[in-house]
Amino acid sequence: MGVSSKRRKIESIALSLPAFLLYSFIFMYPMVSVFRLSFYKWNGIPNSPLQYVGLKNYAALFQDAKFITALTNVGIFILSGFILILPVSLFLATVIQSEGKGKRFLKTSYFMPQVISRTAIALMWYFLLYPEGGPVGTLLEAAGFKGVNVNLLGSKTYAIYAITVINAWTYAGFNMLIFSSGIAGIPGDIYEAAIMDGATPWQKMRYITFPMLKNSFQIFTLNCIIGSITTFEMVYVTTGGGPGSASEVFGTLLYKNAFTYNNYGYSNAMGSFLIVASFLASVLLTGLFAKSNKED
Amino acid sequence: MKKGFVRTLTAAAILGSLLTGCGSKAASQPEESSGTVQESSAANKDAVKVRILTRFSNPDSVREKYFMDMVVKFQEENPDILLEDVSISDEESHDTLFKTAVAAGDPIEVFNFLGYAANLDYVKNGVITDVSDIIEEDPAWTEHYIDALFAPVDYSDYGVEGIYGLPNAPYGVCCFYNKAIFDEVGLELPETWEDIEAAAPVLIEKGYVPMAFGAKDNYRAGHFLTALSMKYYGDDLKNNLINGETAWNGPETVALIEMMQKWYESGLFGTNNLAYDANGELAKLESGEAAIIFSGSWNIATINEFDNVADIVCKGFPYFASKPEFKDQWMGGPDDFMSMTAKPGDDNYEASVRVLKFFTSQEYWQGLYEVQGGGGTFPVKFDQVIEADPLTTQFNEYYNNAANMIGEIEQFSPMTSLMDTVRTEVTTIFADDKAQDIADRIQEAVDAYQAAQ
Repeated sequence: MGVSSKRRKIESIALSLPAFLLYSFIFMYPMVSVFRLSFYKWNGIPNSPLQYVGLKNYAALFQDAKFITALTNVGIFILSGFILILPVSLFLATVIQSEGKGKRFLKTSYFMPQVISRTAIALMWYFLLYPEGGPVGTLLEAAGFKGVNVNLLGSKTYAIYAITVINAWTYAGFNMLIFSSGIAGIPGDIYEAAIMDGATPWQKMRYITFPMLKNSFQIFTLNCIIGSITTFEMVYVTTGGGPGSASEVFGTLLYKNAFTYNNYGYSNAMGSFLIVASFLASVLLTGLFAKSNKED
Repeated sequence: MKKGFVRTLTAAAILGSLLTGCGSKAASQPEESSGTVQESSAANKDAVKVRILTRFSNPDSVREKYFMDMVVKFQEENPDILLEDVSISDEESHDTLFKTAVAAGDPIEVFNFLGYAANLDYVKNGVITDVSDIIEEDPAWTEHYIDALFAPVDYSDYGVEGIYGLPNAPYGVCCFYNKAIFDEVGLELPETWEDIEAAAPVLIEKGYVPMAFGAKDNYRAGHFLTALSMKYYGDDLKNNLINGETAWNGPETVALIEMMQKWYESGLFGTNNLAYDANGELAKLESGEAAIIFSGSWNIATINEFDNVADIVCKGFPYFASKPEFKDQWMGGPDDFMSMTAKPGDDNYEASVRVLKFFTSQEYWQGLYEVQGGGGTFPVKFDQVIEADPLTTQFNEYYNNAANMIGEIEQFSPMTSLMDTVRTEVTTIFADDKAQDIADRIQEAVDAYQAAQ
């Protein structure tokens, strides 16, 4: 190894060291701490001794009815992503990619929720769905649905579904951009050839657009699943996980266990589960997509 | 060679700027705060920083506005202390802020402490400072305080000696009635649950909410359950639940939740309770929508500002005609306490003591007493009594007759999560849950807690 090469190596290490240290400090250290504390019972008071409990916190997770509810609700979030967000954002993407006036306006309008704070969105929807004089209730009444219980966020049955609708409204614009860039990347001559062959709009969509949007679907899937696992603020602001524990998700449950119940060890076990679940989802999906892409 | 030197220099510069950037911010710029920091003191580089955390941050509340004004006054009088007010009215946010500060090893120096067994861990582990020595050194400071109010910050029963705060806001739960509504429908103001049950259908028929219940704040259900239990069982149920003789899903507690459920289903509490909170209750009282609200003495000053205050009457929490022996059993007493975490030897200990003393001084209370026109409840006695407003006078007629007074039942348990569990679960009556299911879930949580001990 020559002097120049050695120096280059030292320089590259020196240059990347600040970023590495910063990354380790703000990301790796907290993550390692989360895993470490998950094996202890701790009340969040520094002077209070950490009590080693092994895997007890993890065992307790799956005996906790609220955790099972959160697991179910995350499943509902993921499903709603595919049932609501996917078709809506795909539709919006085709709208803004189609010929016609006002595309920029539509694109900006659809994307608008993405630049608003999640808390503000949650509050806005809270008031939209407000059962006494809220616009949604008023509209329903005006449409003749008098006496219908429109207290969606106060219903154990419907609260989680109401939140998934709010979630869909929020994220449809962002996913529209993903699909829109995918559609923009499809060469126009393929469509032209299809038109010459007499393909209908649906056939163009089915046999050209969908297959060529494979990468966009993969990005959407990854975002949807990881976003659902880590969701928090929308639920916290609208229902706080209630009524009871009906709309709890991992984030709200973790928050309550740490900051309301002083149950930091258990909360860290939940946090570890969250990190592992997100990581596994990411690795598995990336692997599956890579395999699928290779087969193509 | 020159190129290599430049590269190395660039790397060093980047590294240097990063480290300098990290280090110099705290040293050269005052830390941003969410609360009030007076410029005069910020300019004083030698000022000792002390943070104060209370639940007083709403300028629309007379009591809270007074506190905020006093923060400004303290700052003017004490330029050597940089008082950072990080107060937040919302209970949950207040508690979270305190807990995260403690967990991070940087507890807020002066703050509202909730006391009672539920917070024993903070005392046992030395987070809260024992102020008994400071009290002994300066007896004039606390000479007007009502001694009985110190009980929830006296942990000698748990083997921890000392006094861990000063009573801040004694209270009593009570009800406010809109007399104009009762006059309109031709009913006397009801004082018993039996009377309220009889009046409810008449009020509902006329389009009024008999008793507004803002269950969006889950503490409303917790307060109601305790107040109801005192009127039905005295403090027997509390004692039995806390010492484990009675289970939370036993017939006594279930009977109380069933009563609440029955009243909810009959329309006595109105509808859509999960959509509004305690402020919503007040709004319904002021707008003439609700005939009664279940509330507390802490709202007297606010209600005194209502346009229709002349129509409002304060009475004790309704009792049961069938249980007259518990008529004067109350939920109330000392609520929160002003405590400190700075310890002797800390740089800001002396400054923290000054802050603590200022916000718990007789002058502080006297000022609030005058601002509230003699209204409200105080932890101290006053030399000169100000003739109070009608609501306070009415409240005191009941309050002074209290034979026994307890805080919320869960506060007496060392299980920290019990309060939120009970409040959250009981709130689900408004989502049509059944009383027995609610009680079973509370007991499950208690069992899980005990199994983990």
